[in-house]
Amino acid sequence: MSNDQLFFSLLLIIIFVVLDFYLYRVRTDFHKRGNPWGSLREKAGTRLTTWWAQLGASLPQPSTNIASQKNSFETAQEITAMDTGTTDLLTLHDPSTGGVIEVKLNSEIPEGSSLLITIKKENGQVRASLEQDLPVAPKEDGGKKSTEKTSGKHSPDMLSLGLADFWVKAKRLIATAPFPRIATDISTWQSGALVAALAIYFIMIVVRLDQFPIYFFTDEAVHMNLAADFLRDGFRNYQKEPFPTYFSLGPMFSINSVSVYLQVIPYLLFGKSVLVTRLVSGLVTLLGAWFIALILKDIFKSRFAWLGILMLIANAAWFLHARTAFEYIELASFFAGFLYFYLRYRSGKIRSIYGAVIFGALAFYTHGLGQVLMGVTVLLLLLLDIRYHLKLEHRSDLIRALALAVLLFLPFVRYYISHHDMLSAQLAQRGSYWSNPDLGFSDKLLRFFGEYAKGLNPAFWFFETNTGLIRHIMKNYSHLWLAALPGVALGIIQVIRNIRDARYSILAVALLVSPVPAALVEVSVTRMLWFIIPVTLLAALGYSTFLAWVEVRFKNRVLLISLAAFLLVSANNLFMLRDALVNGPTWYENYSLYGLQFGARQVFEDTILPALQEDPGVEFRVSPNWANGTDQLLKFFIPEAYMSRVRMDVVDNYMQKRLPLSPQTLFVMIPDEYERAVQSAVFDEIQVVDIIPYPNGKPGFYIARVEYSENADAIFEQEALARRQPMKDSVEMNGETYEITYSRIEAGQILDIFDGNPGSLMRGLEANPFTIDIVFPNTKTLSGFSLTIATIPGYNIKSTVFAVDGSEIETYNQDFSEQGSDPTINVNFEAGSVMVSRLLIEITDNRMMETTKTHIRELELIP
Amino acid sequence: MTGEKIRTIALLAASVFVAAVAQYVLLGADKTSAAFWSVSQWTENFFNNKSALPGLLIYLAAGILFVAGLRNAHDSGEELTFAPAPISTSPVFGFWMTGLGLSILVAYYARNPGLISGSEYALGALWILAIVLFSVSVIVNQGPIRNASHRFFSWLKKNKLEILAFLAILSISFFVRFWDAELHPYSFINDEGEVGKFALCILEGVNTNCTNPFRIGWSAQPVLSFVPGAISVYFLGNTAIAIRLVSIVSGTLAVLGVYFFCREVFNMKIALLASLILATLPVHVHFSRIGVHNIMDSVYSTWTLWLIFRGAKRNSTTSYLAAGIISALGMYTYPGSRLAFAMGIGALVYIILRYRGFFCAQHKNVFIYLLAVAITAAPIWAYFSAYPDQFMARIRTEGIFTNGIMQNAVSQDAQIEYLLSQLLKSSLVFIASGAPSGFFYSPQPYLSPIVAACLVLGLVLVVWRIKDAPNIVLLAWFWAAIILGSTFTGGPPSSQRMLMSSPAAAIIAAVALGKISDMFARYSGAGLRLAAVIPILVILLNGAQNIYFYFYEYRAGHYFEDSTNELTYESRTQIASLKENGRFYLIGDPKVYVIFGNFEYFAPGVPKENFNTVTREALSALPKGQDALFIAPLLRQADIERIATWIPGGQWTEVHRRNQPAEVLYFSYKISAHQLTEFIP
Repeated sequence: MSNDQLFFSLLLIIIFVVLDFYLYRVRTDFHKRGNPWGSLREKAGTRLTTWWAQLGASLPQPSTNIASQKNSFETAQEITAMDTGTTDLLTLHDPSTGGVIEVKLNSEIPEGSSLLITIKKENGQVRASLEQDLPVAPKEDGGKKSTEKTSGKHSPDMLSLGLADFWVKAKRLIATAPFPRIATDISTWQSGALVAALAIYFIMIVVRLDQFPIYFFTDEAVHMNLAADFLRDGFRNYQKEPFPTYFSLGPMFSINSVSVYLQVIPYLLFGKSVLVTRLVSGLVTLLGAWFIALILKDIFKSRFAWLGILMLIANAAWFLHARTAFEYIELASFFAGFLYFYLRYRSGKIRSIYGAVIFGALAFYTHGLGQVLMGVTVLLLLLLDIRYHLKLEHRSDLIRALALAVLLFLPFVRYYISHHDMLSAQLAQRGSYWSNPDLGFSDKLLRFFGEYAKGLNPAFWFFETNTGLIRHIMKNYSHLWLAALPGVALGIIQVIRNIRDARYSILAVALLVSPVPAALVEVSVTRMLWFIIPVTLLAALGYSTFLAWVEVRFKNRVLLISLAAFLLVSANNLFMLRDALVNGPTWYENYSLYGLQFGARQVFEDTILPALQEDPGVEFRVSPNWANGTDQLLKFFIPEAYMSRVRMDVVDNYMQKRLPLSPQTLFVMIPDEYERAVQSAVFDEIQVVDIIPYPNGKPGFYIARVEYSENADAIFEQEALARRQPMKDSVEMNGETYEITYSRIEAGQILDIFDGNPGSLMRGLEANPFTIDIVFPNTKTLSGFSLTIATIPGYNIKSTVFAVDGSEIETYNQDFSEQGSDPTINVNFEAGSVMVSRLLIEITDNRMMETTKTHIRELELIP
Repeated sequence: MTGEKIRTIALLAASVFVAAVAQYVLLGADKTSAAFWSVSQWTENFFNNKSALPGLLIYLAAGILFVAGLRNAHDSGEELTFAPAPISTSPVFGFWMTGLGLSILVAYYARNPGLISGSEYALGALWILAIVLFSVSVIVNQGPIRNASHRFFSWLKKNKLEILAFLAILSISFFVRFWDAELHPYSFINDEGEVGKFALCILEGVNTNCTNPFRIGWSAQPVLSFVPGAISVYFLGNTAIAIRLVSIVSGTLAVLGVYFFCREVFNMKIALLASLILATLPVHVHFSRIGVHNIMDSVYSTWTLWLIFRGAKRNSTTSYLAAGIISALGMYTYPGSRLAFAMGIGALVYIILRYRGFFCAQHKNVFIYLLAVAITAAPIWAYFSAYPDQFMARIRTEGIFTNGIMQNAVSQDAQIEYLLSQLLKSSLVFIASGAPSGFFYSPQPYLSPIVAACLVLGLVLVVWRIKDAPNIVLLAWFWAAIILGSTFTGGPPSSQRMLMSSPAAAIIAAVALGKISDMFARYSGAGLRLAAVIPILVILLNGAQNIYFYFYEYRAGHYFEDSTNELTYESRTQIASLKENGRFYLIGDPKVYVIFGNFEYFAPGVPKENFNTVTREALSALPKGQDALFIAPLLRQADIERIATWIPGGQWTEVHRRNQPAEVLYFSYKISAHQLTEFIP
């Protein structure tokens, strides 16, 4: 065995032993924390059976056979109760629902010299060029020659001479070092490296997946929640659409489609789980990484395809989001798939167009921004490659692909017919400047280009650290790996030089289109994740060229160079993983609503659920003020059977009026609420049962039991009196000043309902009905008014108009229900236009609640 | 006696009687007739004793009666029960990755043997280290077994009778295999000499073809399979017994494996019966006494399946680990043992599929099994992946689908007919026909009539309850080697390739016999012990018959004897005595050549040459300065006599066959170096 082999073997053995230590540590951690995979596996079988029973019951049954329908429900319930002990079958009661280039070399090659042969195709012509490095001269005069050469290039100071000498020595050392020459078959190494890169990528996304990022965000939970409800409701969404194109949770959330469908089978197998929902997303990104490698390998014929995979996950933005269940990252991965298949198609493999259509559709349907991304990309590529598309020999495949595209587009058409305002609603919800009526088109256009430029700004991607929402960044890491920047620059140079080459022009299109969707709203890293795909491709191409160049220089160390590059990038990645896992939890210490929103798993899964299972009497009131959409988190973590014992409720409500409290009721409070509760005189005693700490060790959540004091009722009475006092304000409108008296509000201002912008909101404190009493300085002719309010199931609007003398002209009373999302209600006076001096509007939430938070967006008086 | 009892006894007795008739009919049929082996001619020869059909039909009737009797008695099969998942313990540090990694490293070098030239032993050591590290990790991770020694010794105390019986079987097995092994079967064949040659090559440690344990050696067998022989030769010298001892021990281990398997899956009675049947089964004894490696597949199959069932029933990690290692070691020996590896995997897969919850409870151990297989077999897999021709070498030469035999069967009908005759020859050799080929050359079927009848009844029973894991495994175990090892290869019955079936046959026969004895115990009023003793006595009687046959009839019939092998074996002392001072010249064409293994094994340092063109000139051209020993078989008597005439004064010897002394085996003529030098043509 040669020294090289011995060295190689010993190195590997050391690595194996180190891996064993690491494995031991991981296993020990698993043992301490409990193996999250184990419980998932055990649950899978039971869940499938239960779901099957539920599905059978929830699907519409033949109406002619009522008896058998009833029986099947009972059977299903029995099975469920027996197998799982759960009673999440409430829905069952609702039955309604080529060529070889030969190069000949005719030359004498002196010993020790190296040749670089470059073959290039330009304008359809293949050219070859030869560069020769002469051998190092014999030792006796070599030093002189070398010195002369050096002195010709550099100033003859000692530093330069020293550096030159060092360089010569270093090269010699590298050339003679006993580094391993692993195998003669370089393609085997490259294939192995590709697999190893995928393995490293997998490790990067899967190790302690449930622990980093430390939060579990609502947007991550909704996919699986929607998938679960989709199954429960007999393959329908909340709007009762069978196999819906999109799932909508209301304006606060994005519309989702593919990201929900992806979670269906994992949910069936494992139930709701942070690990599973994130892993699904992570595996989709693995697919994206694989497509990047394929683009490099098959399209750009790079021998360093593995570099693409490693460099993709080296980007902090990608790494972080690949470990979440956000749909943006899935969209980006599908975009990579689209690019791969389209590039194959453009490389002559015509049938790959079907793959492009399918992955394009997946990207299109994954998120609203995907529609824009794919729409613009497809349009540009259609125009750019029009001559290629129209070639006769492509016709039959293209027609079929077009048919496929039309077929895949039909679900969108179906959705658009029912929800034609979807795009504008989404833009408005995201606060897009396009929905701002105050801005002119040119202003919007300018703003668009500004945002677009920001999306392409290298400073934003490579140099900015610690800016943006801390949930989406890693401390002291730029969004993209800074070390990739030279590679990107090299890649861009390649693209510019080869822009006539379809492969490079498509890459350029991908790069330039990527910021467009975000620019419609506002550039942020999550809205730009697909941008990382072309950038990574550029970086990998750039570095591939560099590595190939280095290989020519050190042709005896080809494998060593590859290995070194591989190890370097892998080491960086693994360091980043370690850094994230070890230090990530304390990078930022704002764990609250406006920060990391830490605590979903810790509150619901680790604390509440075990307590509910252990003690059948205990109930929880959980503060919703530490994360967005905590009701979705509640739904995610707490099984239906326990849901009635957990309510999202804030302790402050109990400080405003007497509400039922039992010794079995436990409050989950954030520190502010706990402080207020402690300060409040309405509570006698606050018994802290447990404290859930933040990762920095400070108290994050207090689990406490509260008890009213003896004089609580008296205090409530006083406070209620104060809250019932209406507010008064003056509003300038049409040159007149209206005196308005209205119920107390807790958000916004009265002006917001008259500003013509439905995006601005005024929210009532508690009054039900919420009253708005407008006194006009002069009598005014009104035929009615329109009111834009929040989505609630049913409400009553009572309007009373008064004459100049103060007498009541008429009262209009109307009930409304199921008016859709943020409806605008028009109330027309039956008497037609009437002269009024005062208008009193009372909005009652029909859910029979004493208090409610009435949301009013707009009030428009109709003359 | 109730009606049920009467019916049961009547049906079972009838089945035994009808089976006996079937056996009689089959044995009496004219098997020398081509019609007997041709299925298409069965019906037309139904009544003239040249068809196997009557015997098989009567056996079918016997089987139906047997099943009917058992059904009437409401007999239920032995359903396996499996241990639940073990209680998880705290993780303990283990060399899991190191074991796996080392194995991959070794596999890499096994695939690229040129890279480690000169370090082959280190490679082997690394491989052993990988297995040891992994095994230690598994065992340590499993944690200590509480009161293991106490439980073991208390079990020994409670089961003295069984231990005595077990030791008796072990002794019988070993003794029957070891006794007079040097001379029976006679003689030491040249294939054994080849094995010996390889053992010597390993001991020399010079040729990397022999020192690299992950290469292929003689007869497409991995080098590692010759290592036990090398160890034996190291201690016992280059003798016949040194090579045969490996098979003797292996054969004994196979009997042991059968006992353990039946003890685990069935019960002690069946274990005793089956191991006794196998202990004296002539074909198994025969191949346990020959120094080639055919016997290995019966060892690997029994031990692999026993350990898998043991692991499955007890959820025993160490059993799974051992099963993995042993089944993978099967890849390193006689190619037929690869089937044992496949059997193990197949059995496990069936158990997983058949028994709900099994995989959930035992998945960790299943993974340990797979990892153990991977770690142990990785180097040879890597080698075979680099050199697939070597993996297929034996299959290519022996397989009828690859060596052109099937292609020569012109029509599709002829091919089917041919395959059926192959199958009949391969399977009926167990019960009805002799084994005229395949290194056994026995005039009798493998099994005595009584055991043969039990085998057929047992096969019916096993097919009837095929869903049970032991039964389907037994069935596959029995038929796999018959089909793959013999039916699909040339010259059936290929006894040397069907040894894996013999343990299964013994077990199936024992199961039937055990079942009959159970029924006898239940309905006859005889005690359980009596019911157990009677079949054991029957089997002991059968064993005595077998021993008599193999050590007397078979030997006296000279069935295995072959003058070529005898020549190469009997001349060993003469040739070896030349040492460095002489050369050996063989005038053997067209019968025997110096390349034959025995010459080199028994006389490794002596220069050897074929000397088939016997002329004065050729004689004078021989190297001078060394004594010359000429040996010629009877066929070349004239040639060697000419040498004696040309160079008189040498030492002439006439050697007769050991067991047939009337026949001359060979002539030898030895001349000194001086005489050779003096010779003038």
